[in-house]
Amino acid sequence: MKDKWTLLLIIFLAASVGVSSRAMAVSKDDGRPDGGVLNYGEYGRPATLDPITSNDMISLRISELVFNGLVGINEKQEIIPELADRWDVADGGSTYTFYLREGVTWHPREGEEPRPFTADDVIFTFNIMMHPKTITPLKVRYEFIESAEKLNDLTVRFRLKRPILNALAKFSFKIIPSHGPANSSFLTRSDPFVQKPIGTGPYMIKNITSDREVVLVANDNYFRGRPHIDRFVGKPFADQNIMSQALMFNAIDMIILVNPRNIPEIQGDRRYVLQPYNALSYSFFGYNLRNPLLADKRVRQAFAHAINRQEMLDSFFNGQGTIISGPFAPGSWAYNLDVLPLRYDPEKARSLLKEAGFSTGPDGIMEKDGDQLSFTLKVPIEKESEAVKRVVLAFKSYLKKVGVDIRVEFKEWLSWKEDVFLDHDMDIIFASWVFDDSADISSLFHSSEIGPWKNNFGGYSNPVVDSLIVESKLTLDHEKRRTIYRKLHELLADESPYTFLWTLTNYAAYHRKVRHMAIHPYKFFSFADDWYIPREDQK
Amino acid sequence: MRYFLTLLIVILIIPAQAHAVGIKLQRALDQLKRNHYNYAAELRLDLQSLDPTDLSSAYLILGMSYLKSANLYSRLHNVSISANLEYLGRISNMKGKNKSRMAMMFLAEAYLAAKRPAQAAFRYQRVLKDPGMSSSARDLARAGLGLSLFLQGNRNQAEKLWSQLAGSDDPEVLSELASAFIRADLKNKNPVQLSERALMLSGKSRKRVPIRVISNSILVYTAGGMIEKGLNLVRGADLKGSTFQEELGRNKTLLFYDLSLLKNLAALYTKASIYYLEKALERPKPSRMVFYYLAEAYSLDGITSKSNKAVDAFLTSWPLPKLQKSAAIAIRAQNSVASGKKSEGRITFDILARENWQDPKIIAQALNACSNVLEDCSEIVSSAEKLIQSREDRSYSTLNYALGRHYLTRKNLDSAVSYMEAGRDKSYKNKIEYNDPLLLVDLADVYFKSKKFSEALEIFFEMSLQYPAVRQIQNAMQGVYSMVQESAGDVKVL
Repeated sequence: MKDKWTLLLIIFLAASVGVSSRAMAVSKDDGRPDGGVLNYGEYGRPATLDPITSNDMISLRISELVFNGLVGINEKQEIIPELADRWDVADGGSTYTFYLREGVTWHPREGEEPRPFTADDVIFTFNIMMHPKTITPLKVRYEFIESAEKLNDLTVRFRLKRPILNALAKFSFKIIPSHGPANSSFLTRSDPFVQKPIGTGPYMIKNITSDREVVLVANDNYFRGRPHIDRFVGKPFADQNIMSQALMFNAIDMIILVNPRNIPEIQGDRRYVLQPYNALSYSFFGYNLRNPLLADKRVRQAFAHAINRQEMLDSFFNGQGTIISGPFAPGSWAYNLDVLPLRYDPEKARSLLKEAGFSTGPDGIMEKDGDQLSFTLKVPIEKESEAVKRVVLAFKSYLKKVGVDIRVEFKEWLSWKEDVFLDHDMDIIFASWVFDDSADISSLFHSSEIGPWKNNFGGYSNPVVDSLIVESKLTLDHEKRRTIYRKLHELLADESPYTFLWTLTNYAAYHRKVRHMAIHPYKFFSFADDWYIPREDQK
Repeated sequence: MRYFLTLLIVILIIPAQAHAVGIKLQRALDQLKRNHYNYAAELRLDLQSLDPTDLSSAYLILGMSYLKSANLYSRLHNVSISANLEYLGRISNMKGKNKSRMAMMFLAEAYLAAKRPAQAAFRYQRVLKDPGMSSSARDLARAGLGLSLFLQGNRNQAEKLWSQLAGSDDPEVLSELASAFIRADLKNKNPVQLSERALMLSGKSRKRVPIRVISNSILVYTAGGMIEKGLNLVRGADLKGSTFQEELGRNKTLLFYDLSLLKNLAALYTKASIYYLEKALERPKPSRMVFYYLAEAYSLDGITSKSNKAVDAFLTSWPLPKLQKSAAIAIRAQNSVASGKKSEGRITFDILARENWQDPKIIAQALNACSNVLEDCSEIVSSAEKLIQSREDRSYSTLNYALGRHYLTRKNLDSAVSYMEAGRDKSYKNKIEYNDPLLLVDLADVYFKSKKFSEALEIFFEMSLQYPAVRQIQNAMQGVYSMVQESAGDVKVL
């Protein structure tokens, strides 16, 4: 009998906790239902889940669900308040004062009460981001800030070294809690925070399953109101074709990036919506210029002439993309339309290699002074989709025809990143960059960005390029910056630190049950707190 | 573009005809089906070598190709003006030591091309007051100001300005003057002679003929009925070339484009279409489709009486499939509205909608025609939306596009993009070979107006491979994008 009463008491308490917890939730009050689960397919696993150390798109998307910046940028390219609800700009654009939103709390850790978000967190984030020992690609972007100062618990002031273009937008960097990282001075990939971070955003990371699925649950205390969908589950797939099949068999509800080959099948199925979102991205073969053989521009240009990019695009991606000529995506404002892609011309390739002093060796491989044109091409294992396999094998085959030997090595994602960005232990890589609207290539090609975990993995260094990049950063004239970028495009197309390949069609696919879908072209999940699933579809 | 009708009939009729035609005609047809109108029109160069029995088909193909081009360039012109007004407005308002002088000049030209002469005149006057402006730019401004004033009814002042330019030996100035005379309908002032002189002077220089001279000459030739001459001029021209390059310091270069070019091309192609379709009509046993396309071409050219006659000839001569019949009726309804018989046109559109409420292609035709000329197309829109809700697959793409276009003309951008995206073949997102180029141009327009610039730029990037004249749109959109975008400067590994 006593047990029975105990059980009833437990049920009552549990129900009470549930009720009180639910009662704390601030509904959006927009008439749309809460509830449901959204399973989405990703084409790989995130290395880290925090916004500071990560440099891949999968992590960025999760950051968008978990964190907020001081300001945000909406679909109409307008700056909107996030953690700051207003701001002042003074001293001719050299001082930015942000007045922080009251009542915002951090996601609670298990067994803890939610802690308030304050100016200390903003100062902490800036300091940890800029610490020399913090491993982050963000540092270079925020070197324009002279100092960050807390004026009171809800006010911070940033002083800039000089006014710059689009300065306010740069304060969209995500804020992390001062009580988050184990090491409060600097952040590395070994800090537990990077694997299970907490933020202020609409979703909280619940756990990562043994299958590396990232489970996120709705933040009842989200300052914009509780998001409608209860739970997001990010499921990694090694192969995009399998991911498409998972969608067709209802194992997932959404694909972030549809393989171009699967578009016709999904387009023909009324259950799904295909939505374009134009992330400015392109694929490339990147060269490690520390290898003296690849340091010769003629060798790199020869590679570009040796491969038939249009044939690869048509054969492996059904032609669903565009061949590019330089370091910008064709949808970007910075693309130099007068620069044409180097044409497929194996004869020209051979002639360039001969001009560089190479001749055909006994085994058919070109060589000079005993050094053979033989290289390792490293490809991350998540990229081991059928299409990517074909691309790298075609690359190998094309280059063989002009006397260059390529050994393809597939590496596990994290190990590939270490080889490329930390140890620089590779000759050639196959990869893709994605840019936001700024089309900022400075971290890719400026010589100061050579080093561990920096984006200039190939060690490219050219004083003219450096000088143009610096000038583009200093100017307050949009048209001058555009002219500089056109020059950079021309210069880098000629220098060929990469063989620029193509930009592919970007489509997300989702089940029609998910409503009020708006997708940010770069960050993807920026508006996900407004998405909802009608009650009848929440099974 | 005032008039648009889907040319689906091409697909229905021509392949059957092509069965019996020679390889050159077949090649042109293939290009036409791939929406490579300029390549299809290369057939013109083969006319002499064709079997006389093929001439009728060849003229029809040329007429169709030029009609398609005319529609496309007309739509491109509208998008270009909208984008360039925004771009040039922004750069002419910039301050600082590297401020552009020429932006004001080209903004004036943009207003003139947009048929807003008062705004153009205001800017031309500012150009003339600028002491740092070159004499050549001043003369161009005088020609433009003259036209702006003339169009506002101030003929005397216009004549006075133009008289100052008569002795110029600057080919661009002479051609601009010739263009002004054509636009002012002053053919007695010898615009052809002026234009020929401009071309001759340009030819003496080692440089390429300036695109302004080419553009103006196209207009002059078109107005003078010298269609072949106009087409020959276009064939050798670099249509992506800028009119002026302004260097402002070491690392700032602005490119300016001739904003009348696309409109002049549209006018030339409209006349070329009529020219070749009329030639087809002169051949023994012309295809009945000649009447249909002539009806559309005349309508596009604003000659509604001839268009209606062609419609009548098309409708009465042969028993027609319902789709073709309704397409012709839609042209007639457009003509009614264009010639002031608004209620007659509306009744016809409504009847088309009521009688064909189950046929997406006919509803799409009627909606397109109605959207071009009437504010209120509610009955057709209602039929179209009911039809879309009942079923949706690729066969409904033209209807989706028609609805999208309807909403674009009504500035409802969200609905426009939603319907147009539903009508787009996503397998080949930006490829004109798989999507109606007009749909892509309209979609790019919607995306530009919605500040989704990269979507718009991607469309024009692909289109530029076939139609390089879109460069002026790309330049303006890139410029606006670079100024408007707000972003943090992020880059990640995909």
